[in-house]
Formats: sequence, C-alpha cells, structure tokens
Amino acid sequence: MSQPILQVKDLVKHFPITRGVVFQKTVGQVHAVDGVSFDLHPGETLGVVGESGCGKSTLAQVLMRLEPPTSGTVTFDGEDLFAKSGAALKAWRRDMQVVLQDPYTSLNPRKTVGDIVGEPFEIHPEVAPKGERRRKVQELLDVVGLNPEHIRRYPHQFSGGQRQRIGIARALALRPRVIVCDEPVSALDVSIQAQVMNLLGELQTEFGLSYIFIAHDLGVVRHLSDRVAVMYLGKIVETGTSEEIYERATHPYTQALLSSVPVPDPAARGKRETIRLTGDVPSPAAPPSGCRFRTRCPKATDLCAEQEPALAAGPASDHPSACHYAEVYRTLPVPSR
Amino acid sequence: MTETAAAPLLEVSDLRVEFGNPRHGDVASVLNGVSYQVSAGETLAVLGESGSGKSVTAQTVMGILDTPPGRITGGSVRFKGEELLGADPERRRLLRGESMAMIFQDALSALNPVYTVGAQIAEQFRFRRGMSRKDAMVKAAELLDLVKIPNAAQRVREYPHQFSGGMRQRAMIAMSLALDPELLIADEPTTALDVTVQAQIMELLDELCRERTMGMILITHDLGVVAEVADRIAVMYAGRIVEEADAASLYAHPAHPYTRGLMASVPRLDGGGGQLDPIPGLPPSLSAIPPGCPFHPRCAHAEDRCRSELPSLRALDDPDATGDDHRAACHFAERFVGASPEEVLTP
Repeated sequence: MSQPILQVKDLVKHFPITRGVVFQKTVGQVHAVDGVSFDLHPGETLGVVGESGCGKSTLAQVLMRLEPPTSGTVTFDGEDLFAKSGAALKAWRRDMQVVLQDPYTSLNPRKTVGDIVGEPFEIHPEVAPKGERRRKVQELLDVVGLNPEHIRRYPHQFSGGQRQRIGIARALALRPRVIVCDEPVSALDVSIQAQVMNLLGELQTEFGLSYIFIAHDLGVVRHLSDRVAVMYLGKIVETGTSEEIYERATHPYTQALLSSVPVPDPAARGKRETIRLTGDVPSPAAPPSGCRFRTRCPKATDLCAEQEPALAAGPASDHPSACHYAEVYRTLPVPSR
Repeated sequence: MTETAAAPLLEVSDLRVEFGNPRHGDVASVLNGVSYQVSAGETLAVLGESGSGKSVTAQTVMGILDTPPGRITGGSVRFKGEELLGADPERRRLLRGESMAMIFQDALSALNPVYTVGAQIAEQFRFRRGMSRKDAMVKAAELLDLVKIPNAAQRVREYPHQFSGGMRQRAMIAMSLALDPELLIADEPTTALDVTVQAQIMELLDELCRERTMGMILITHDLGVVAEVADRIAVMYAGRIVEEADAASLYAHPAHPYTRGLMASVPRLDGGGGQLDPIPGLPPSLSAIPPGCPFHPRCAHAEDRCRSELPSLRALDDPDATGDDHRAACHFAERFVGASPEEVLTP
C-alpha cells in the first residue's frame, strides 16, 4: 500500500466551558474530538459519519488548522502539520482545501464568482500569474459544470447546487491533493445532490484527489467512500471499508444507525428488523464513563461502564470496532429491488 | 387504509396561489391547480423538492398563508364538506387546533423561548376548554407522556432550550394533538433531526395516527421517510401534482419521468450502482414556468407535444394499484408505468 498522505493520531480537541465575565474560570470541557486516529491514502475517500454533536465538523476544522488541537498529531506527507508555520504553512494550505456545507453563507455576497474562485490565486500568486487568472477561473468554472461566461455574476444569481459548484471550484483552484468536504450535499435537494456527488466523483478521478467526506447521510457516504469511520461523541467507534461497515457492521451504534435509515421501498415496510435507540446523545461536556454509547446501547452491561473498549478488530469483527460485544448482527436488512 | 364512503376529511381542488405584485409584473405562480384528498386515518405524503409548492399548499389549507405577498387566485379547500377559502376568519381560527393542526420543521423556532413547554401546551386547554391553570398543566403533562417524553411531570416545567431537538419535536406533536384534531399536517417534521431520532419521531407519528384514526398530510422531500409511513403519495413539481398513487404502486411503477428521476437520484445503502443518474438541470423559476409540461426542459423523453401541451393528471392502468388510483401528468405515462424503476428507458 502507498504511503498515507495524511496520518491522524490521537487527535483531541476540547473546548473549555467558562463562567464569569471578568474573572473567567474554566468549569468544564466539551470533549468535541477525543482521541481520533486514521490514515488517508492518496486517491482515497474516507467517509466520516455520525449524528450532530459527534465532533465530525470539529475534526474538519482541526485538520484544516482552523482550530488548534488540544493534543495529538497530524502528519501530512510525513511532516508534522501543527509544527508548520510561515512559508511552510502557506505552502501546505495549497495542498489541502475545504468545501463547506452551506453554499449560501460560505460565499461572499458582494463578490463576483470570478473574484471568489480567483481569490486563492491572489493569496498564492505563484500558481497563476496575473494575466492568466481570468482564463484559469473560467477553466475551473467549466470543470465544475458552470457556464464560464458567468464569471461576472454574483452568488445570489445562482441556485443552491450551482453555488456548491462554485465552492468546489474555489477549493480546486490551487490543485490541492486533499479536500475536506464537510456535509457538501446536505443542504441540496435530492436531484441536485446527485449531480454534485457525481461531480465530486469525476473530479477525484480526474485530479487524483483524496477526500475526507463528512456527512450524516449514510447513503451518501456509502456512495462516495472507500473507507468509512463512524463517530459517536468525539470518538471513532467503528472503521473499515465501506463494505465492512455497511454489510458487516459489528458495533451496535453503527447497526442502529443503519437500521434507522428509512428505506425507499414500501414493500419492505414492517419486514425488516429495526433497532430503535432510545433517548438522545449525551452531552459531550459530560460523556459517560467507559463506553460512551452504553447509555443508549441495547447490549450494555456493567463492564461497559467500567472499561472503555478499544478500537480494534476482534474474534467476531474483521475490522476495528470499539465494542466489548462486537459481532455481526446479521446481513443488513436492506432489500434488493 | 380505511375506506370512507362519505365526503373525505379534506378535499383540496384546483388550488391556485400566486406570490408577488401583478402591477409590477413579478408574479410567481406557486400553485397551479393542486388537487388532493385525505380521508380519516389516511396518511398522504406530499413529496417534492424545494419550491415545488408543498408547504404553500399546507399553509393555505391551514389558513396561515401570508396574504400579501401570497394571493389565492382560485380553487377550493373543503374540510368535511365545508368550504374554508373565504370562510369567516373566526370560524377558521376555531377549526385550527380543534379540527386540524400543524407541526413544523424547526421546532425550536416554533416554540416560544420565554414560556415553559407545559405552559405553551396548556394554553390551548385554558382558552379553548376553559380549564384552570392547574388542570391545564396536568393535561399538558399527560400529553408529554403520550409522546413518550420521560419524566413528563417534571419536564412540563422546563423551557424549550432545555429540550433536545427530538424532544422539542415531540413537544410540538403533543401541542398539535391537544385538542384532538382530525387532521394533522406535518411539514418536514424530521428534516432537522438525526436519523436515529427521525426514526423515533416517524414511528410515534405513525402510531398516533393509527390510534386516533387521524388523517395526516406528511410533507417531505425524503423518499425513504415517505416509503415507511405513507398510504398514498402525491409528487409535486412546479406547483402541480405530477403523480399520485398508493405508496406501493408509486415505488413499483413510477409513471412520471420526474418521479423516476428522483428515485434514481437517491444513493442507496446497499451500494448498488456506480454513478447516480440525476435529473439534469434545475427546477424552473416559478415566475417563468415553461409552456407545455413544466418538466420538459429536464426530461430525456420530451417530444414536441410536451413543449406545447400541458398534460393533465389522468388515471393509468396499473395492475398493482387499487382501482384507478394511479394518476400521472405525463403524455407518455403509459410507456413508463409498466417498467420497473431501474429500467433505463431510451428516449
């Protein structure tokens, strides 16, 4: 296997909870990301799924160096990401770009599309000399399926799907090697979502990109990902190839998540077995002891409260799964139509 | 499905709504003749993408459409035979809550942050049923218990911000059920929720409807949610219903190219297929709906006839549908209705 382009090890991000106005004192920590490790290989898509509050977006922010980590290391091409500064940091930023969820707020309404997509060239003038920029921007618009003539238009003149394409064009401008996609299609309608997903797939083949694809929609993640990490309360609870996760999930949370997804087939109604979780995700400011999922887990025992299960493959799990009782539930109750 | 011989619970026919000012020439035709019926105990799902008019239809039925900018330009809404459009506002106010209730997508903004959840539910009992504050709070706690909020007697005194997203939506459901309505309109009730919570809420809604033989209009864009609970499905596009059928026949034999396109756009959990087959292009602007079939610019099967002649919603011969229940607004619906959803039809 090739050298991983991105190696994340024991990444932790805690946000302090403070009280008081003048004399602020820290009264607690929100454990947003709590010991996450994974590798990303060139040309690969790693899907990160989880419900809201599981820390997947914080993970994206730390990886993009928008937030400093509390502890842990990230290496990019073997170099420590958090040690970079000055010119090295700026050079690295060309290699890793981000596409954000909301195509309405992530584009400046006062700038034309040409300015938005061309702005990376202002910051990194070595990529495209001034005279060439306009042509470069038009090329990028063409690549993402927008009309290059629309370079002078403003974001409000575009639909949601088209705006997301503008966001993708901006991310592609500096020819990055890794793109972090934070819920890139969840604000879009189904038919438009499919168009954008196809585009992301095509761009990956064309430019040999690696994606970290963060989403809460399990179908979307399956469609685009080679490997998948399932997050719950700041930790990865199960990781494997998309086949391992979707066909042979061994963690009870993954199983519940998969069985909660409504299946678009009325004939399957009432026929498939569902695991219904009770209650809500506990607060990340006070995560439960031991296994974090135990408060909602149908399998939980005393052991789960005392001892935190390690994320590792076991006798009943061919891929890493952080559960004391990991086992394949049965083949997924997904009907084939 | 329960058969009701008499007038259906709700009958919407040829509803037309416009937005904007005709004097300035910027009129958006949001609803262009929408008709559907809901019987007691039946769940009708209204499926469509943003801008298709599904929420505006619901708002018109509830009588909460903002006019202006909206204008109802035609059609009728009958609740148990009684015409609601043009009815006395006081009469409509009495019907809301009592006969029909609505829950919204964003429960946090639908709840008042400065009153306790209990007080907001109890309000209906106090003003509509003349109960004392204390009795009304007891009733509110009973309702929270009904929607499976644990510790209802304590939680009734808490404020919306103390509730999680799923619990707020449960509280909204409790509020809508307070006066035993016969019709519940749920406008994207689970869109803002996580899948595991969504499954809980949909199960609760389904259960409540069956227990109370309550009619439900479920507005959503999620084809999965629809397949799990709907009895009948109406697919909307550009302010019209383009296809309507019982849930099983719609999924087995989608007859409108738009419905087929929607189904091909959903990434599947079982990972079948590489490329998705999305519908090309964008939905039309409602102030410039194309002539003929509004879907023709995006349709691979469009012919000259589609560009000039608006197809009407007509009954189809679908062996699986009960009666002549499967209707579609496409000139060539017969060509599609026999084919399975995966079959790629060459234009």
